[in-house]
Amino acid sequence: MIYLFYVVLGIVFFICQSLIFSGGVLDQIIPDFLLILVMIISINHGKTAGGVAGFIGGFFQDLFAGGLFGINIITKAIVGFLVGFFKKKVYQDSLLLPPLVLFCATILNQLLVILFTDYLLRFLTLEQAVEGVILPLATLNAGITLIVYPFIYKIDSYLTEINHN
Amino acid sequence: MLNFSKKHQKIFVTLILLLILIRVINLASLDKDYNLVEGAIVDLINPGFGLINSVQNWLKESTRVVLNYQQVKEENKQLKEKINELNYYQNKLNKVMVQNQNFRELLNFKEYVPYDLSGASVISYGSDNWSKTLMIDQGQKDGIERNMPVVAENGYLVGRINRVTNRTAQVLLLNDPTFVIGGLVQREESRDLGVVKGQLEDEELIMEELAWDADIKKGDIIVTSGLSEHYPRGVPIGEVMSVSPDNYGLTQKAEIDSFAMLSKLEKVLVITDFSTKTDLSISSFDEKHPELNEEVDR
Repeated sequence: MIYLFYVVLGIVFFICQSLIFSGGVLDQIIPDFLLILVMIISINHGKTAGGVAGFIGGFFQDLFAGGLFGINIITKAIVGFLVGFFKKKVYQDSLLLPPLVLFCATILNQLLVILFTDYLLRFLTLEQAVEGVILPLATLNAGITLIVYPFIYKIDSYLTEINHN
Repeated sequence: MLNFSKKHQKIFVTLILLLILIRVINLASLDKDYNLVEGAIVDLINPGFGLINSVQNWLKESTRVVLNYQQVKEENKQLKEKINELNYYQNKLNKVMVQNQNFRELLNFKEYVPYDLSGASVISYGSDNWSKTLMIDQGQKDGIERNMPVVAENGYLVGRINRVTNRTAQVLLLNDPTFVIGGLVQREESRDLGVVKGQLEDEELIMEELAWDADIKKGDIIVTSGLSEHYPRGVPIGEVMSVSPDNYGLTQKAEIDSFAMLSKLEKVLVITDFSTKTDLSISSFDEKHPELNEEVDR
């Protein structure tokens, strides 16, 4: 049941990212809904689930993005896996910590993208990338997490409880 | 910390090897098409995307009509007037075309060969912040191939086909940083050449490698140069917004405002066949040949 919930949520988030918000929200920045979902899975279910979710989410994003194919697969899988280590250290029922994790994870994810895609730094400096894309995106992702996380956490806890019973 | 590293040594080694592998693969595959599996998945997803996109457009249009009724009414009136005006110009143009063909025959010029177009609907836009792409609902089955130029319905350059599946294709937009095309100043007295590129941090395009003494100024129209075998000559790209010296004054660069509304495209046309000798730009024909214009009016 919990898998079905995350699959449906993945589809909805993927549609949000590729269609509904593809024109951008803040200063034409497209929120990374798939990263938000991967991070939520990592926080609630640990490194393996986070890594697998990152791999799948990155794969679908790569199919519809330009640039280097595979870049989102590897960066999202790495970030999903790493954040999963904090499963027991981050208080899952805290409303403020997950957005903070998302803020840091977005920065890490985007820096990894730049690290692997060396041609990006031919068109802009690292400072421009951080100011123009990375920080606004991290803020946007953290803001969206602040709104959606409580609902997802409640449903997740409910479904986990049903599974245990 | 040391204990943690030792405990997860295998994971760290695997990760590092994976990173090196991906890095090597990426260096070799910047410009690659979808493989069979990727193509099949994209084809499987895109009909659903197309449906959602249609519903989204329908909702947007319907709410716009209801919420801005007066504005839509006014727009409708203006469009009717515009249609009448365009009909007049269409008739005028038909006469000029017949006359042009006659002159060509008289002067033994090659016959004008129009290029082939394939219409397509935009299904979705790219989903990341580092590239500018969109997906269209035409693919290999409709004769679409990689690197074919894509124009908006009004003929302005939009980009080129980047990846193709059986039923869909990804278009690399003009404002993507990896998009590069030869540009030409359309003005007859200039015809200077430069390289037009997209920019990551800005919506505007940039035209570089212009000669230090190139005759280019604000308001000039930039069209495709036709020097590459992938693009026909004379497809309008945009208008010059500003010109400044570059490379310590050895060259000039210009900021270009693209004609096509790249973030609001719903339909596009793919140029599937053309001759690079065909010039699509409409030069200031009327200004240079007023006698012909008068003749047409008569």
